[in-house]
Amino acid sequence: MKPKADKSRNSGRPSSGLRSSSPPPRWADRLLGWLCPPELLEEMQGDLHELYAQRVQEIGQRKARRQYVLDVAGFLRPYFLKRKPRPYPKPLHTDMLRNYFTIALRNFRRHKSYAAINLFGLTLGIAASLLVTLVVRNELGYDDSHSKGDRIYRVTLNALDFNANVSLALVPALRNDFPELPLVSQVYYQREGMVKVDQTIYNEKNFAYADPEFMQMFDFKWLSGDSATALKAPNTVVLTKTTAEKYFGKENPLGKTMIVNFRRTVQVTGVIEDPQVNTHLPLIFLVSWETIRKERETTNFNNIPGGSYAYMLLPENYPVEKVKERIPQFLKKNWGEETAKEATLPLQPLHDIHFDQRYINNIITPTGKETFYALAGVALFIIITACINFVNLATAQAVKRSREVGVRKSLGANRSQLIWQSLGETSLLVLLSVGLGLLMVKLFLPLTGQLLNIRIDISGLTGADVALAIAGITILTILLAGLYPAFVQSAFRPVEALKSKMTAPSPKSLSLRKSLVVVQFVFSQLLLAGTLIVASQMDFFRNQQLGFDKEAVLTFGLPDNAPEKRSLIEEKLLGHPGVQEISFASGAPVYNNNFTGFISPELGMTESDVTEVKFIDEKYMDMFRISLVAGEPIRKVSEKDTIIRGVVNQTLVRRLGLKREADAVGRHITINGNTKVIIAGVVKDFQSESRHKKIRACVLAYNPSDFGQVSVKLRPAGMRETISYIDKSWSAMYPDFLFKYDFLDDRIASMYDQEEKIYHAFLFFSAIAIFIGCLGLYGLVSFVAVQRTKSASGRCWALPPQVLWVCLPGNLCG
Amino acid sequence: MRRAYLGEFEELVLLTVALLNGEAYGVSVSKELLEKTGRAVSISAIHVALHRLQEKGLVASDLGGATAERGGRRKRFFTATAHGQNVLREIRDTRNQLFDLIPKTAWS
Repeated sequence: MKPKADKSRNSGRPSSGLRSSSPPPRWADRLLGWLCPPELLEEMQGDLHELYAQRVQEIGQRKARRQYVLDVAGFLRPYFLKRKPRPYPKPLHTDMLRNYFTIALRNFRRHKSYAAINLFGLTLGIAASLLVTLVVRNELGYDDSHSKGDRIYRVTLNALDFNANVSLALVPALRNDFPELPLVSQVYYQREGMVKVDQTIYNEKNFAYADPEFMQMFDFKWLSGDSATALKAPNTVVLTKTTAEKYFGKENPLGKTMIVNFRRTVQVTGVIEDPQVNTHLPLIFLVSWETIRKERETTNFNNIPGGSYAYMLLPENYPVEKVKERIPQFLKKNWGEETAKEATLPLQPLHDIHFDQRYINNIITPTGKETFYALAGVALFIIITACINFVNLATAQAVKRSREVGVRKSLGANRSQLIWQSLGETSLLVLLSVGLGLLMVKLFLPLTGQLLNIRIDISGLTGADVALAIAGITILTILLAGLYPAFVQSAFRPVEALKSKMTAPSPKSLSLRKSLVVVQFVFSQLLLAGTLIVASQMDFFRNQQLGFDKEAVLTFGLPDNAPEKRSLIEEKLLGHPGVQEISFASGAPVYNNNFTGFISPELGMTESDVTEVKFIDEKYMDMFRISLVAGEPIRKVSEKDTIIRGVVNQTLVRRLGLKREADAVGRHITINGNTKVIIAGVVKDFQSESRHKKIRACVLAYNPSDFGQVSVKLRPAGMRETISYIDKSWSAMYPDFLFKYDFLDDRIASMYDQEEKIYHAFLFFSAIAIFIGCLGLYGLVSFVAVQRTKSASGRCWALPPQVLWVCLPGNLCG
Repeated sequence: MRRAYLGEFEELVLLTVALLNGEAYGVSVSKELLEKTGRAVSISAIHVALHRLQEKGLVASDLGGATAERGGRRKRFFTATAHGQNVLREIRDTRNQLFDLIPKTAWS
């Protein structure tokens, strides 16, 4: 192969005469150059060429070339390749790197405050953006641990609202009419309840009644028990690992029993690993649906119990449209023309549940994805702010290092070396910051639960995607922060630098610095404005007129709602000086679970509209300061009448098509299909749901059989003592139960948990961004101040205020 | 003085260097060896030998004498050091002594 190549190269050239003969094969020469010690190359190659010239004359060019190659090959022997004695070792990169390292450390040491500001700013910035990464990842990763997740849909109801709750009749009908669906599952969710294990009573939140299909549709890691059969039989329960440990300690929980809600003794048939924290359906245990199925009505489409959710799993590669298009027909077939006309069943993909804000009755309030993109934007702002700090300080500092650059350049450093040096120095700082930032995040992460109201697994920090994010943040920061100073610093002319002409930065870099500071302040302003907007939103949620008085109201339930117990507790509590008022109702203003349709044939309204119905006693309106606009308030009624006297709100009056509230008084409406209500009075609208929703129509009526909740208005003094008194009185009446109460304002605040979470996050991260911005400005100002010390001391005759004026304008514009 | 071990080929090269008297470099040594002993040795082998001799302190070297056919590259000229000359003499004396001790009858 080799000779061939040589031949072709020769063919075009004249081969006669010594001087004009073609040179020896160049590739062989180059090979020699690579592999032989450079200090020996000259003599070797010289000898080879001399021999070659002779051989061309003696044996001809072709043979000479071949011989040349053989000779070169002869030189490639270990003796030369080892290059062992190297009299003039080429400076290795490591030597220079060590020098860079030393110089960098010296510089940090000499300019401690400068390095500290940079380090602190970058650390804070990186820690904050890492935290945001974790928060965003946590939120965007809702329900992502299920392998069939992209085929799971929640069947919801769109009649008057988008409602996540559906009738219990739906799942059996779906199973019947959509045989192609592999799994359809019913979940009956309980926000809270009591669990009794042996003699201990636990007040528990977040459990559910679920069918075996649920366990197959969603992926759970089974520690013991069988996913196919665990929830098949009635009175069985599957615990999560944490719950099992809580109830039974180290003992094997399988086969043990516990009592749920004081009525059902259930047996443990399985234990699962704790499900992922970020799910729309947080669960601590699952009771088999069979346990309560027979007690529930499972035919009426319009009976929608709170907490009833339906899920379906599509077959693989099955378009969801195929199911969707058959829904109207399905509704018509099962529940008639009327239902099919009024309602649809939107199928909500599992992965959308956490982000779809249209729905009511979600367990976790959904948050729009935009919020998290905004949060990620804030993180980017923070990083950029920290980088701008770095750029400003570094370019200001570069002037001081001009002499070093001059020396390096005159010693033969080329520009790329200086750029790498500068970038390397930046990387050193950034890497240090990343390390410190990680430490900070690790220390801070356990606090996020309290401060930001977000629970993040510490294990999230070790995920591959987070590692990728960390690497990304590091590289981004290095480039953003280091590139410009590196180019500025390396561009100094050695002569000027050595003559110390570079006392002041060039006007060009000054203007860039100014604009960077301006950018920084724009960011700060934006964040500040954004935070203020979020804050005012929060303020609106929390403090705007609700239409009722929420202060110092304690609510608790009466498990059996017996009239004699009601009067007993009323008597007991009113006897206590800490209790101001007491009222019985189906629920305080924000507790609402009773919706129904209403019509008013009398006023020509025949199409059904939705209204809330609350049953209250005569003291309710007074206690909650719900103001009456027209007519009379709720009165105590001794015996049940066929016509109920009701008080309605302004929204309902408007829905009736009446302009003046007084016109509504005395009119009749029909609720619940056949219950006639005469409007006795009209109250001002009050916020009976979270502010995410518009105020709805509402009917208040007197009906003692529905008084399941007690509201107590407390006097501010000695509240703690009063509460323990109430606890004691209540517990004396219901020795088998656990006293549990809510403060109304807490309950209201809990409706805005998600907003609160976002608000805190924004506040927190914006504060960090602004703080970093200020830190950088401080650094820059103090640097400029030092630079101008000379000019200030030159004006030693000047009064301090005048010196201030010399420094101030420059500082203000960077 | 420590007696340096000298291989047969190295000894030959050292002799040639001494013989060429200041004109010894890779090509000239190889040519001389071919002419005087009939041995065709590859140029790289000669270089190795020359550098080994230099490490052992038997020859010294100097750069110079660039020519056009070498592409302007200098030659490395080798000269035998005093130590080198002593070693050569010693080797010859040892040989001669041993040679003389061979009984005449042994070869008859």
